[in-house]
Amino acid sequence: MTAIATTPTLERDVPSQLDDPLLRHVTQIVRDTQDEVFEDGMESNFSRGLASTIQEHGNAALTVIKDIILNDNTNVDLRCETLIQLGVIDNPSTHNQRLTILTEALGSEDVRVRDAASLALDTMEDASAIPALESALRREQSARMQDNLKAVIRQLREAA
Amino acid sequence: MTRYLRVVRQRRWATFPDIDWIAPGETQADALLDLQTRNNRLSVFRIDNDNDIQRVVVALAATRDHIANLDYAIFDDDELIAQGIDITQTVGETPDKTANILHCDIHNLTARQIELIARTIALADHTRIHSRDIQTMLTDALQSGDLETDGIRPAVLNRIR
Repeated sequence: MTAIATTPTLERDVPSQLDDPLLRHVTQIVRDTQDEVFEDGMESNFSRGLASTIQEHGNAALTVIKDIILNDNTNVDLRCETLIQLGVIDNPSTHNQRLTILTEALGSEDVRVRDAASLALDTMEDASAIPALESALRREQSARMQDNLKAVIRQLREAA
Repeated sequence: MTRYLRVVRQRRWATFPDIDWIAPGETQADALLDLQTRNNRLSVFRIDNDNDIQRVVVALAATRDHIANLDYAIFDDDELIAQGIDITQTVGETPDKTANILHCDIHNLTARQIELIARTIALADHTRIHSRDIQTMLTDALQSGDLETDGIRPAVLNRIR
C-alpha cells in the first residue's frame, strides 16, 4: 500500500491507489488549488479542474471525487465547494449520479454540508430531488437550515 | 447610523448550536474568508433604504461568472465608527451605475479592526436570495435598463436576455 504525503486541505492520507491516474489527477487538482477562496457564483481553478475532469471521465470521476474529497476528513469549505460545483456542472451523462451524491449529502451531520448540498440541488433544477429535500426538512434541527430547505423546495416546485 | 451590505457565504457564519464545536457567541474562523482585504481595504455598499438592497444585490449578481444564490449581511456602522474605522465612498465596478455610487471602501484596516467587523457581521441580519429569484431580478433589471450589458459575463447574459 502506497501512501502519499498528507496535504493541509485533504487532512488525511489519501488511500493507496495513486497508481490510478484519475485519482492522482483529482488529488493534484486539490493540491494545486488548496489556497483558493471560494465565492458563490464565481469560477475558480478548482471548479474548472473539477468540471473538466467530470466532463472527461464521467461517473468514474465522481466515484473518485466522492472517495477523496467528499468525506468527513476533508476540510468543510472544500467539501461544500465540491458539492456546489456538482450542481453547477453541465454534464447530462452524470446527472443521476450527481443527484444521488447530493441527496446523500443532505444527510450529513454537518449543517454546512447539508446547506451546500441543498443549494446544489437547487441549481440542478431537478424536481425529483423534492422528496429527499422534504425528508431532510423533517429531520432538520437548525431553524435557518429549515428555512433554506423550504426555499429550495419552493423553487424546485416552481421550476417543475 | 448608516447601514452597509457585504456579500458572504451564509454557512461560514453558522454558529452554536448549528455548529456544535463552537462556543456560544463565537464565530467560525472560516468567516474571515468572507472578509478578505486587498491593500487593507474591504468593499461594502451603503444601504439607505430597502430599494438600495435590491439594487445592490442585482448589481453584485451581475458581476458573477454564473447565476447562483447570493448571501449577504446588513450591518450598521455605530461600533465601527466608535472604534475609528474609516468608511469612504468610492465608485463601484458593477454593471449598474446607480449601485456603483453606493459603493464604499473600509480602508486602512488593521487585523484587530477586521476582527471587530467580523463580530459585527456575525450579529447582523443575514439573508439569502436563491438562484431563481436572482435570475428574475437580473432579468427585470436588464429590461428596465438598470444594468449595462458590457460588464455582464456571457453565461449570465444568455440566461437573462
